[in-house]
Amino acid sequence: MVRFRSLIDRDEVDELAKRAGLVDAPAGMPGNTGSHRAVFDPQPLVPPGATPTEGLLAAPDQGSGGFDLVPSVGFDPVPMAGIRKTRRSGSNRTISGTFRVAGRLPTGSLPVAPDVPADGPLTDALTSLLDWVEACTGVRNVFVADDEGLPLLSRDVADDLIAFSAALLRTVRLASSAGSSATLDLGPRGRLHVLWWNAPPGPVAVGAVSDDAIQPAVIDAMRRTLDALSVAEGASA
Amino acid sequence: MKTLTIASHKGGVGKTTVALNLSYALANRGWRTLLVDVDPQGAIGLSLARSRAKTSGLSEVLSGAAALDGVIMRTRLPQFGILAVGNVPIVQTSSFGDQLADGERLRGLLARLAPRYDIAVIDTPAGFGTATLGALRAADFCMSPLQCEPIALRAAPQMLEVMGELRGNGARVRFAGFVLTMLQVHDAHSMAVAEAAWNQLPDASVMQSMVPRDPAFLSASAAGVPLGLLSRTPPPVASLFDQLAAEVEQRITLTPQRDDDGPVSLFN
Repeated sequence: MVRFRSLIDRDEVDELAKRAGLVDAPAGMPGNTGSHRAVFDPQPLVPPGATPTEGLLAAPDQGSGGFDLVPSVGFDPVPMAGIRKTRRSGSNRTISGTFRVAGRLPTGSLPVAPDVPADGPLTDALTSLLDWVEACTGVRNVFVADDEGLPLLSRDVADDLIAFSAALLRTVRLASSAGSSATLDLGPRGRLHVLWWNAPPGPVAVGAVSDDAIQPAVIDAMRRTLDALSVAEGASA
Repeated sequence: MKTLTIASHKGGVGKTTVALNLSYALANRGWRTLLVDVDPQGAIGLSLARSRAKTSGLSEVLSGAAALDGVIMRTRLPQFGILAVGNVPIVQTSSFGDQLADGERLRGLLARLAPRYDIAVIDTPAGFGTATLGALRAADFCMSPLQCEPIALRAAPQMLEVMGELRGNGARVRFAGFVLTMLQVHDAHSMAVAEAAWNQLPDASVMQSMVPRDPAFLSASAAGVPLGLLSRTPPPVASLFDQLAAEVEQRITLTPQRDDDGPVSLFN
């Protein structure tokens, strides 16, 4: 280990810092304060897999030179979803496994409750859920995708929206808040509603694209339906 | 509006890189952010605009040739504006700096923009020339990138000394901390400098966030973009500036000035 002899007179710099009006360090990020001095550990410098959200919302491809921060004349300030990653060719994935309803399915004020069978292939449950969402809300498209952006069930949903949902899923997982949902206004492309489900085969995004906002009660019913499913071991996505 | 000047006696330590990426991260976190360039070389404005056309900016405002509102560049993020330095002929670098030296004119310009921004980040040229001193005098806080090389470490006390001098002469600027830059975790000498800075510089003076040397910086510089806009999948190192922004927020007690701030619903 290389060590430098002391290059700095501690008493002198302490006095200089006082005169410089050095601010206090926040408790959560103490820097080289007090006992934290004894522990110099810059690793990990980068959280594994960390991806800033703004990059995910950046405009479609503008060449390999990155995205202009300062727009040219006529720039459309509405961020558009971009494809998160190159898709593997011929990779129409499926979700396997069986399920049974182990919790209470939502009922109540909704016009139609999700008609999910009591048990059976997991795809049947998800298909039923998507059917119900379509019938209940008149959404344009619905889908289920894994966290790599590959559609497990998709009904005419643009690939970039699925990939974008998967990217959001990864971001949400980074924040340890999987299980939540989001609604994003995509301008002329409508609204993207995404729920994240920590399915035993792996986290998946259940999404819908609509012209108008979906009622929170419908989103809630989707969530409760997913939570009610008990997926058998051995399922995969 | 809080004002944060990025300054260092030594050149090439990453001032512009830190200023640009920190500003972008702050804006990305929701703060109405203005990046101000007082470096006559104008690295920020010219590189980001990707244009051969001359970009008006601070220099033109100071000379009366342009209005302040007309030279603030809009960006991809509505809450992020840039006041480039403008056109400063080499032979007029000194007079440009002289206009800024006492900090009064810059402070006056920033005061006019205060209702529209939460924070202004000022990028400065290397050294303590008149432009840098003016930016420090006009600022509430100063942050200093500290390159993880021995010579930069030796310069750290000089930074504190200048700050003390300015404050002794009535400036209100406070030192927000050193941020270690160009850290190479696999290089023993670089790590030794970082550890020495951590151990030998005053309590709380070294920030928790550190910026590594990473090829992505070169790519971003060549492309003229912040790391977060380098590609559709920004490099992981871009996330460090989110962390640095969070740390800066706390160190300078950046607080919302708007009445509409608060939780934002995910649902309509």
